[in-house]
Amino acid sequence: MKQDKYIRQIALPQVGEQGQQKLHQARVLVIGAGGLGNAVLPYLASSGIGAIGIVDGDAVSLSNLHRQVLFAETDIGQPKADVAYKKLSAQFPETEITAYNAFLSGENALELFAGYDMIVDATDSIAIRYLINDACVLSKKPFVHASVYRFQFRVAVFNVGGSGTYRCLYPTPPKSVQNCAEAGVMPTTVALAGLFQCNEVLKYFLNIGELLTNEVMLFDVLQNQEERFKYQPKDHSFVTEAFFYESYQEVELTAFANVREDGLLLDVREVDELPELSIKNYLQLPLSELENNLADISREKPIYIFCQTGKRSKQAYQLLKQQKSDQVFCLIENAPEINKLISTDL
Amino acid sequence: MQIQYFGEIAEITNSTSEEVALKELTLEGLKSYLVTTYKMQMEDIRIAINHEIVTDASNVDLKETDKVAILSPFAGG
Repeated sequence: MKQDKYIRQIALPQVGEQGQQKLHQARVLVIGAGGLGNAVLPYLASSGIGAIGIVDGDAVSLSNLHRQVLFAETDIGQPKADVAYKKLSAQFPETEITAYNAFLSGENALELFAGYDMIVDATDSIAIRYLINDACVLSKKPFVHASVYRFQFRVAVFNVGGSGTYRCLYPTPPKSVQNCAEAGVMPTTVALAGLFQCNEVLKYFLNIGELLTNEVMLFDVLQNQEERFKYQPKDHSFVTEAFFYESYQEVELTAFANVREDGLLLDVREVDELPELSIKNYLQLPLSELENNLADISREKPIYIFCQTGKRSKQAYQLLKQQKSDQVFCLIENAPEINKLISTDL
Repeated sequence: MQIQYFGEIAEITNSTSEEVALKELTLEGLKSYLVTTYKMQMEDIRIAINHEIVTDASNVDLKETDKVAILSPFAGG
């Protein structure tokens, strides 16, 4: 670490050599290299954060440039994560920067989060915000949230120790809200939001000041007015690994009518569940026993999973996919529907 | 009572704040005002009374001097 570079911040009694070392050891993952990400990323790197990951599957477009200042006109069409990586690596060579040229999904979130200490939610999608929240709860990582609506932004820090999560504020996704592209935004508004996020990240690692936990800060840049709203942390023990896969795992679905002759129909219900089914190429292996019996299932033929309502079949899908089975499907119909289908056939 | 509107919800109310005389000075009375006047979806907004977001579903009495804020989620970034 080139200490002289950071001498002006080391001079602060709240930082010092020790604080700088803490920043150097910190690993931060930024989800989204859009308006917020473009404000957060350069200042994370310039403060001497040791390792930064950038997750974005999008490409630079002309209408991004007014607020996403890491990008030039010559970058249009290039992957945002790659361009940000090149720009930041050249300017801050001592920071370990990694570009993940993909969108965050239920498939990659937990694996990505495992390599970092703190997550920055710099997305413009409410659906991804719930994914970030739930992946952070499962992997016990704190995350800094910001979002923008026209001339207002909000910032909050979630899941620090036992502090509240985004679901304590908004338990379930809303029916409809606009993003920047639809609502319009000034570059300064989104940049201010991003800098507040970055500031919370630095405070967290330096362990100084008061973090925005169990409260949300709302700023109106037209009035220069700040409001803070407290909320009560709620129980989030329902965010389990099973809940996560059920919510975010994308499964390949197919209908019972499309089942191939040589395919295996895998029933993951418990043995005493009704209706009992009498069909060809049928195997009952309860979800609770599936993990220990994966070797018994042939990899050669397609596998069609079902259960009673479709929840357990999604978890079974995940287990089988991890075993690198290519031809795995969840059936759209489950036991009660299949029972009707085969009864009418007779 | 003064009600402030933050985010997208201010587009529905056409103002960022207003002075309202509620028929019934309770949380339920406030909700019914928001639903009947603006057709707000209660599950999509949060109500803060004196800067504390109400998460408890129980009805509470309000005071004329209470500062009420209505918050909707922001999506942009």
